Amino acid sequence: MKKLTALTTTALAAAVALALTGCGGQANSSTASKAADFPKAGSTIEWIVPSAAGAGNDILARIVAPVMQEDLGANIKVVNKEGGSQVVGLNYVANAKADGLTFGNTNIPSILGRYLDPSKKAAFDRSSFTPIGSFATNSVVIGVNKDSKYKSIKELFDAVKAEPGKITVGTDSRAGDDHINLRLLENQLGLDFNIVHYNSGADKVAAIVSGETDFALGGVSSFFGQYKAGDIKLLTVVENDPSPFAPEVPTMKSAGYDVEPMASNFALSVPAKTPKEVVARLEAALKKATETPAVQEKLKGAATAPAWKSSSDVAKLWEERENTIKPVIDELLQQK
Amino acid sequence: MGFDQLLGGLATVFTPEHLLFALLGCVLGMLVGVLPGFGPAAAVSLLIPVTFGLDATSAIIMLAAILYGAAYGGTTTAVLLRIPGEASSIATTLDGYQMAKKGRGGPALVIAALASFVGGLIGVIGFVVVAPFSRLALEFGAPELFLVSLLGFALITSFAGSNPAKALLSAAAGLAIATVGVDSGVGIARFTFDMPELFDGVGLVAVVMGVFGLSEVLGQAQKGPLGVPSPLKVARLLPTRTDLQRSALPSLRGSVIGFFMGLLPGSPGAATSLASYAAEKKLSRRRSEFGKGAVEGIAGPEAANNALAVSSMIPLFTLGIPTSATVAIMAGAFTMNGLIPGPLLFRDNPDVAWAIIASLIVGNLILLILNVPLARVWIAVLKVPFHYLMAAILAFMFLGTYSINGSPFDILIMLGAGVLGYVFQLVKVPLTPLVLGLILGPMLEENFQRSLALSLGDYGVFMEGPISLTLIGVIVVAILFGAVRPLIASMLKKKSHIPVAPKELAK
Repeated sequence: MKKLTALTTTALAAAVALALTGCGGQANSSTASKAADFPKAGSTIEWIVPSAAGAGNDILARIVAPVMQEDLGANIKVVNKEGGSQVVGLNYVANAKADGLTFGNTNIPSILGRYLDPSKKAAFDRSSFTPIGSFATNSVVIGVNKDSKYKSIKELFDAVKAEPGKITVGTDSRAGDDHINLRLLENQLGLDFNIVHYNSGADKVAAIVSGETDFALGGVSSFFGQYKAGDIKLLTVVENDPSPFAPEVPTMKSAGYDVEPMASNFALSVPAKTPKEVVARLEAALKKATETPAVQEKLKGAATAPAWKSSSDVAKLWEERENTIKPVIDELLQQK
Repeated sequence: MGFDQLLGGLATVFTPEHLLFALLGCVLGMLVGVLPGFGPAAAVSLLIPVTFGLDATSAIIMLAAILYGAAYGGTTTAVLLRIPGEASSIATTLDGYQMAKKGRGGPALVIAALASFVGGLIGVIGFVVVAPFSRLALEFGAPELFLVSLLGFALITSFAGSNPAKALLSAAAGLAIATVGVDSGVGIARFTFDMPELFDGVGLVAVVMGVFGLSEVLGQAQKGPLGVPSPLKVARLLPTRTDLQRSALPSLRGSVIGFFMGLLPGSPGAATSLASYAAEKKLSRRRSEFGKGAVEGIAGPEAANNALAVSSMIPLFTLGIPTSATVAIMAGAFTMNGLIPGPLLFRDNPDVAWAIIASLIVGNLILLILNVPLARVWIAVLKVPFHYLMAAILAFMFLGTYSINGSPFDILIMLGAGVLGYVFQLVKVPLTPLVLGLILGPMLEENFQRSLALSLGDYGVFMEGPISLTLIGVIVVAILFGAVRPLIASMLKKKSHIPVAPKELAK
């Protein structure tokens, strides 16, 4: 009898283990799906999220995927492929079969820092992907501790000018969006910050709440909780229009600084050679999901603004941003 | 905040639906805890889509239960097979397995469950009492965290066994592995061989599974299918009165250590349970029994581990800042359910916040009730012949390691680490310092770089403020007592022999 208990326990454990790893693995349709009947009913599409479960990208993917899935009549499986600061996941998408059954987050500008830096060994560049669209944007803001002596962006930047290289600012990672955006600011406004790198957006925010750093720059969603709670004061939004999540925070422009908008776009892409009809089908499904009120509600709940950009608009934006950011990354590389 | 709201929260939890999800979370958490390689992070992330259909309170009650449930489950294989189910149960392999070998696997498991319960409960009480002050944890900035990790290195002598030089070698190997990856301060790729999989460093879980799990399986295999000792004898299931008495204080101390470490950025679980082990060993009158089946060596780390699992959620609830990867996933679950974690949670959704906190008590109780009778079942698993059992464990380790990132590369890391661990065991080099080096290395280096970046290169930054000065004092004491004193003692014993420089040992 005891032996039986032991065996059932082991069997149960085995079953759960298999379920946990999702033993199906990836869908492997051997026949190239014809564009006309894409996607085949019941087929599985992988949405590759190149970051960890629970990260911003992941949350948004899990909000959007179910609605796309319904429209396409195929399963969409959100797969987290973490590692190599997103390069592992993005390599996977770039090298996937161009049948529309694999797409992934190619957020702009994040992805630029991955392939413009040759040391990252990315097996892709802009030409490796065809965008299917972008479903949301995250405005970039600058925040300080609630007790900071800097009451406005002008006071902060004046202090930076008075003491170049002394005012500290935290980033979520080296050569990530924050770092690149800070360098853009430095170049465009002739400023010099003391840039300190943290390991995550959360650590960067903690350093502002504790007062370890003087200010921080990042997407409005990363500061949202602390901003709402009053622990962090937002000085400016680096955008032409105020953010709906912090409507009373002045824009950079209104403060008299001529800085290009920095908002990040949650863009999705398939491998470049994917048939046009397949891209169009995915684009239509993503657009429909973006415009679904329930999705919009949930995106707003995550302090991310739902905003539709078509495949061609994303392609254009991608090229423009690459042109702006490439010199900054080249400069970063030379500093090593 | 206070106990009134906690009682209100308890009332909310005692609805069939919430209780069901707490139970579900506890069972799932225990399962991923028991299975080597599978961790709560993978389980929580797999369940996030499921939580969409639930109300926010049920969803988060379940996810939280997975986190602390795993802290209970990780013990089982650590005690019975010397394979940690989670990285945080490494400390339990040290004495738990020795107890099991003496036929005291039952008491070891029951003590672990009881200590876990004490840790969890103290964690919740601390949650209610300390939460308003949790902002103080932010006083631990980069310089303080650098000193904390330095203190961690000073503890390595506790795992030295008879030969401190071997412990040093092991720690150095851990540090060497920790250097792999793109350096976070200047962005230079070290030992990555142009493989993106290595840019973020070598995964801790894959290394722990290899070094502790695979090497153990290899060691058993070497003895051959027939040479494997017959299943461990079980003398009795329940701990004796002496066992309980000896576990009481270590459980309390472990809970306090775990609770405070959980508040710090990073909330390093494995390092915390090892710190509790080291503390118990230092404080115990039965120091010589450690490593041979001392029950204190289970009670302390298990309590620490569970107190940490609870307290690591506090910064998320009070400041909206997740301090570890697993808690970050929980933060994601909040956001997905339309809640903003942080102080606002207590203002806008106090019923949700307090129901979740109250569910921690209920969950820990469920786990205690589940675990004590389960000890009998787990021990029954040992009746499966070892060569079958080891094969099954091996399969789980492969699956579990793969499940961390969905990456076959991690399996290669595990295999490599397994061979390294096996060689270390052959030449009797302790494995724990290696893992400690691997955990503390990046913490030490990054916070060192960050401190100097913040201070514009001024080394005085490490000596500012009362926290830093206290930490420096503790480090000096730890080095004096941990390394210098035993060295002098050994020099007095055998005057002719010239041992290794003691200071190197403690760094």
